[in-house]
Amino acid sequence: MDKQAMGADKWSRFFKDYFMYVVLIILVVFFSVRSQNFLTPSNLLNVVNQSAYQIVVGVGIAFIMLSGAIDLSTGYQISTLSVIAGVLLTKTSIPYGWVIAVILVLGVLLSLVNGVLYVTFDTFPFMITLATQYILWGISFMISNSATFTPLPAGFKMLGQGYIGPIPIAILIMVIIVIIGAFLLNKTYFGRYVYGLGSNQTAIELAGVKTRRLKLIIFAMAGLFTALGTIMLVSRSGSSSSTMGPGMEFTIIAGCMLGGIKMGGGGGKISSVVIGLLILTVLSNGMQLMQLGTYPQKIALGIVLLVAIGLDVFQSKTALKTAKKVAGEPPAKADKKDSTLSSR
Amino acid sequence: MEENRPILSMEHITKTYPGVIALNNVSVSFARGEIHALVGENGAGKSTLIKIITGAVEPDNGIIRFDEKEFSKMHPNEARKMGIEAIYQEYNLIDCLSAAENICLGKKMGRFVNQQAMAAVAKEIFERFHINIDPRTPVSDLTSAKMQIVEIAKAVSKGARLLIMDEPTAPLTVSEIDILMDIIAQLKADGVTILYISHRMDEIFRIADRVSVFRDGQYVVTRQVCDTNRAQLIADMVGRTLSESYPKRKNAPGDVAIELRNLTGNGVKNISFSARKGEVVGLAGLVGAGRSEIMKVVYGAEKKQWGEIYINGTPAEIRCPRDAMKYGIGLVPEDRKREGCFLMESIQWNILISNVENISRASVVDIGKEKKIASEYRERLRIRTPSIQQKVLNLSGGNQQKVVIAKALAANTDIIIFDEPTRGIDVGAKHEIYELMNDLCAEGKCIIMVTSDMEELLGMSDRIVVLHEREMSGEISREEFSQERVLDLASGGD
Ligand SMILES: Nc1ncnc2c1ncn2[C@@H]1O[C@H](COP(=O)(O)OP(=O)(O)OP(=O)(O)O)[C@@H](O)[C@H]1O
Ligand SMILES: [Mg+2]
Repeated sequence: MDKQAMGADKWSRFFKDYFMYVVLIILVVFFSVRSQNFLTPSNLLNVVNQSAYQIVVGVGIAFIMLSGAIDLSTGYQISTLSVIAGVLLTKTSIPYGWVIAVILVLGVLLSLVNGVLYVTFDTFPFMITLATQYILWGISFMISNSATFTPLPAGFKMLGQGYIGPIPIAILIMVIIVIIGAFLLNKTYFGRYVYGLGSNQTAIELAGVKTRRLKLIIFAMAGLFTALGTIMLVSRSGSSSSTMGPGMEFTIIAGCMLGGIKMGGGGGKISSVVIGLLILTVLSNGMQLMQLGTYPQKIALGIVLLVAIGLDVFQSKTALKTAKKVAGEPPAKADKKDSTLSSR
Repeated sequence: MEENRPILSMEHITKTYPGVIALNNVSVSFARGEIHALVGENGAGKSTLIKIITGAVEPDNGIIRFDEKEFSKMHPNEARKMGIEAIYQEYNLIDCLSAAENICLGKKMGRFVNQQAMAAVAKEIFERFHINIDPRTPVSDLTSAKMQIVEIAKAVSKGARLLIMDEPTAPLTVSEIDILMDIIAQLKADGVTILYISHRMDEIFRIADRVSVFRDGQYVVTRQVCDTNRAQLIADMVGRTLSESYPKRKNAPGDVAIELRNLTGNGVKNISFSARKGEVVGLAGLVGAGRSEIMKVVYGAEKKQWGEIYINGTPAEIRCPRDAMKYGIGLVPEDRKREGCFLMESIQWNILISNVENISRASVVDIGKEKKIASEYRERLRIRTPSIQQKVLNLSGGNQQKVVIAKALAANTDIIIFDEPTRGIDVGAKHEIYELMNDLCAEGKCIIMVTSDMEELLGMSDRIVVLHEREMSGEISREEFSQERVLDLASGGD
């Protein structure tokens, strides 16, 4: 056996699996050097706390993406749910416990609308969720009239601001959701079906899986997590408005892809979501501490994403190269499977 | 003198993958204008060798000499420029484009896309080979045999000097194979050198001039086809002598397990036949006769229009594959890449996916059990791989097919539909699969086998049902079995 080739391969596999961890560490080191406020326990806790609700939403999105679909309306789902929560908490006397329950149910229903449209039209849900996004956009602002809802009940704010011992409740919720997500995906047959649906829908149907039902379950679940994330966000900010959420879908999708969630089968774990979104939060937190302006921050973020795409393509190049050459000139569909960031 | 120099020679080629030596110091050369067959068991390294020739894969070591030019590795564009064209084992057509567009891909035809010119090119080739395909049909609407013909046309249209075909006849039936053989003969007459990979021995004896044997990544021998015979070649391939006869079934058929009455759907009309427990019913017909199509209806993957399916004597309502599985029907689908495999997932994952609910407790998959079952099938079907955690993508074609079969068997159903089960599978493993089918019969399971392999059809079936143009044209009992009878019915005679 060719030792060198074996070694090189092991390396590339290691590189592939832990690449984003390395990126995260590099960023942390970089910001620690540039700003002495970065590497303090309180700031690090803050970073994790900031990304907690995103990760909760991201777990649901990861299921959608792994199954080969996408949801562009997540941002406005959050917006709509948060203003409904705002109205219920500030304009009515419904106990906040009930409000939370209502929001969770509404979250499931909103996402199920996408799911039903997806299985009815039976097409890649890009356009569908783009369309529902506009509808939710309208609904959210019609409910809120551009108002901000505040103050929220103290008990409700505990969720996003409270602590159990030294640990923020939000982080606890996030950890629980991550564990549930990872458990479902890795340990149960439901997880197998999600991967199977993403990698070969025809084959998974022939294997006896009811794909329409599966898709609905995935969307419903994602809706539940989105609603939970919304509650955490609203509770953390202590107020709610229609502008909370929009744009978030891209952060979350970018985070998932950055971490290695693949559309169309072949990989991605829940830890990918955590790592990807942590990278994005570290980045924005670090840049804030360095007192970079909002717009330069955006530019830097874009550049970092591009670099990540470049590195991702580079690290999956070997696999890509073979596939491409076999296929000859036409860029066959399978080619890009190995590249996380550039897929679809 | 020029004539005797080889057009292509490979010297000391080595190629390794993690845990696998795909090719080990292989030297072999191909003479100008010959038809040279490559044979060997699944995973012997045949496809890897041709990928090295076309530049799709880089060898670790060795020299490639084409037309006196030396390369340490081939570049795909270079290879194409020199007239090396290949038809790979797996389809490489673009589904959403038409036949003509696929054929003309990568060809310079003026500045703009010219549909008419492309259709004309395609039409000319189809006519030259006497094939009836509308150049404008999207490839996704073609049968696998016609797709294969489009692949060949694509290679031919580029003016190949060295044409490599990796199991081109796998999806074809007898009459289409005849067409292909004619095409190959024509190409040879035009001076094209042909490398031909096949697991079907009769084809090799029919067209090849010389044959080279590979075993476990090693080059074994090159023989003149006229100086050798099947038994010798098989012995070269597997390293021992192997009985090629079809194993006898000892059990007698039992009760009727499944009966179709006037089943209609998916473009196929009025199919009626039954299959008993412990019996193999062969389904014959030309490609496009509707064999796979009606089996998809039985399995619930396509809608039934009318007619009935009886399972164990009671009518069954099957609306989706899940229903079919509940009634104890399993399917080995025809097209492994599209319908069978999850290429990006592991072998173990693939084998157990149809049965994963049954090896789960409270929804949690029992990984230990999964490993055990997958390992058993790996042994049984001799899936050649360093580990069952290997992605199916990295397996050789025949080994992928074994995974698809294992997947259907692991589902443990009573009625199993095998659609082209041994496509791409080597002689030794084929025998293994036939034994396995016999074991299933002995356990009282019922097998319906769609196959384009005439020997297999006649050798394995208890009865043969023949379809012609999407209708049933007859049923043949064992006593009347003959190739002529099958072909006669398949072409509509009676
Ligand atoms: N990309 C890859 N990664 C790892 N192993 C590979 C890869 N490609 C091929 N192999 C291994 O190399 C060996 C040779 O494969 P190859 O495809 O050449 O076999 P083959 O002779 O064409 O077999 P078949 O008759 O089944 O098509 C196999 O054991 C296969 O598993
Ligand atoms: Mg092969």
